[in-house]
Amino acid sequence: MTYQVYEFDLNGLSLEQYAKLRIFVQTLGYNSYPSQLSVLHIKHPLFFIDFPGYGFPTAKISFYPQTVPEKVNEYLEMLNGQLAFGGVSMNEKSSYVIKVGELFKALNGKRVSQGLSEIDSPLIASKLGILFALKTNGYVNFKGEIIDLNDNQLIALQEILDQHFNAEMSVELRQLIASMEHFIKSAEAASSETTVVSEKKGLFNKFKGLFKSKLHQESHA
Amino acid sequence: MDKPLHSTPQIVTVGGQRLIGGLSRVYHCNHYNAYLQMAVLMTEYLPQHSPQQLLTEAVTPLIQELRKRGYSQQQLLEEYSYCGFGVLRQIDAIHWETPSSHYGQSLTFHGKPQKSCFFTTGYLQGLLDRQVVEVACQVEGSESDRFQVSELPCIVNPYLVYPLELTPEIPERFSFSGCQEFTTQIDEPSIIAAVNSLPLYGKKEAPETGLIPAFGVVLTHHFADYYNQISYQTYWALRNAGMPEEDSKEMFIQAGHICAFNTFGGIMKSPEWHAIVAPHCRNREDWLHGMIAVINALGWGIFRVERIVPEKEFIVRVYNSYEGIGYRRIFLKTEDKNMSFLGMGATLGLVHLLWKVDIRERPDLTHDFYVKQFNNPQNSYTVEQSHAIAAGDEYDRFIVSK
Repeated sequence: MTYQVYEFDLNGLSLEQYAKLRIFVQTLGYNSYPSQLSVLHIKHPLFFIDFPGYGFPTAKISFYPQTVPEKVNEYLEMLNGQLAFGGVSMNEKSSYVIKVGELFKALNGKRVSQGLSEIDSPLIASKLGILFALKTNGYVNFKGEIIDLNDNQLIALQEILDQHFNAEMSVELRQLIASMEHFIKSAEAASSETTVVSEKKGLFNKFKGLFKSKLHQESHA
Repeated sequence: MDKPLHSTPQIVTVGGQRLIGGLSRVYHCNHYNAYLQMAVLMTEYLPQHSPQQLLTEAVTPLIQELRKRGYSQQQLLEEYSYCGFGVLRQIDAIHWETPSSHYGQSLTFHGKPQKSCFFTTGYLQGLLDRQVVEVACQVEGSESDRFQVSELPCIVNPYLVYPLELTPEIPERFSFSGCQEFTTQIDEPSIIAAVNSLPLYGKKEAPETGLIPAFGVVLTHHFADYYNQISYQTYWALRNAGMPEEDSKEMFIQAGHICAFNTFGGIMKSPEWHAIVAPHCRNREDWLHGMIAVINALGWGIFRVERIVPEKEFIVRVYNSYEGIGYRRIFLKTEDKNMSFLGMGATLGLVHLLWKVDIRERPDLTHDFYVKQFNNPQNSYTVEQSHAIAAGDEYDRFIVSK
């Protein structure tokens, strides 16, 4: 399996900067080496991060082959921002993963149970995309397979579904949100069966400057 | 004996536009009106932007303009019914009601039921020069929509700041440079005459409803400028808020697509179609020509088919499209060619009715059919606008292809 791997340069970071970056990285996913104090191996549905102890020169983010360039771009930009400013907002962390198809199915199920009509998926995606962006001042793509939301975004989603789709979905949303760990295991199981190799698409060119990384591809057994 | 609900206003047809009282009117169905209103209301989270106010105040200056042109209050009430908005009447000094109304009865929404008669609220404001609020709505379960008039004056600036400029020279059907040679027996002038002879006005026989049920939908003979104001102001509000272009346009184009499914589909299943048009159709492409002829009676502009490659490509020009002409009455010229959202969606929908599903088989035009077949991404066509009156071109031009 071929991963897209980006290394980022930790040289020159103060201990405080390193600590902040480490905290941020921890918010991105589930640490599969919880017993090790100095090394983080953070797992996410789209990537994993190997984050070493203070003093090591580089950390590494490896995107699974099926990760679309837009998502690679998004997370690299996020890391780039952290390297540049060293600040971390814990409220921004993504905590909940929802499969979009299941969300729409649950929404229509709820509507039908109330005697309302079903809504086609493209329309739900368009409406949610706009409403969500305007309500939260952040763009989430409801046309993809999954969304990952933080606490505030999840509340916003619930309010939008209630107000604009006439579906009170708090119970359903609780059932739909997967724990990060569970979702990662599912994603890993799925990705282990694939042999898709992603193209680089020149993304590295976007990260010249503050983000001192290099792109290469690695094969993992 | 009661007075009739309305008399017939004078309708002037010029360059594909239907003018009543000097203002462009277009036929649109309850599905389009519902979808468009829903799209506009999606901007409610935008700071310093009130979609409810936009939906209300987009009609107020039009009514004030009609009054300037000599309309009496009685004429405006009659025209409200004639155009299919319902029955609007005064209850007491400060209350009005619509026991029957297009926006209160015929619209379906996805969201929680809420007061929805923004149009009628704005209509009354224009009629009375006072601020009006809707205090009860049939959408929320009331028997009638009720409106309360305040003592505060209503001051809304007119938004038609540029003159109505129509293209005087519209080529005859199939006789313009770049047009494919067609052989069809579809007689467009006869079809237009037949459509114009249909009783497409608010029902005034008992029980008087002031609604226009036709072709399986409920029609309105609406203000074109109202549509343009609410659509384009919302579009630009979305863009100014940072929404991507494609997302900002999608809902409005979809509104046209839904309009085609319900209204065009309903027309092509109707007894009138099968009596007047279908006998002259040899194939699906003739059905396209036939429906284009019908559209040319709706006030949307003059549609001229440029090219048909069966099941592959459909190109149509629209002279004096109400969206293009209307855009230029409100805004300066734009650089963007893909600006006639209704035209794009409706043209795509027309193609889907013939080449994606087969309307000739008279399928039930249910919501389920729309979701699972008509709007299913599989086997869909795409639409692009290559020319736009809004961008300074002579006509709008839509290319639907696979």
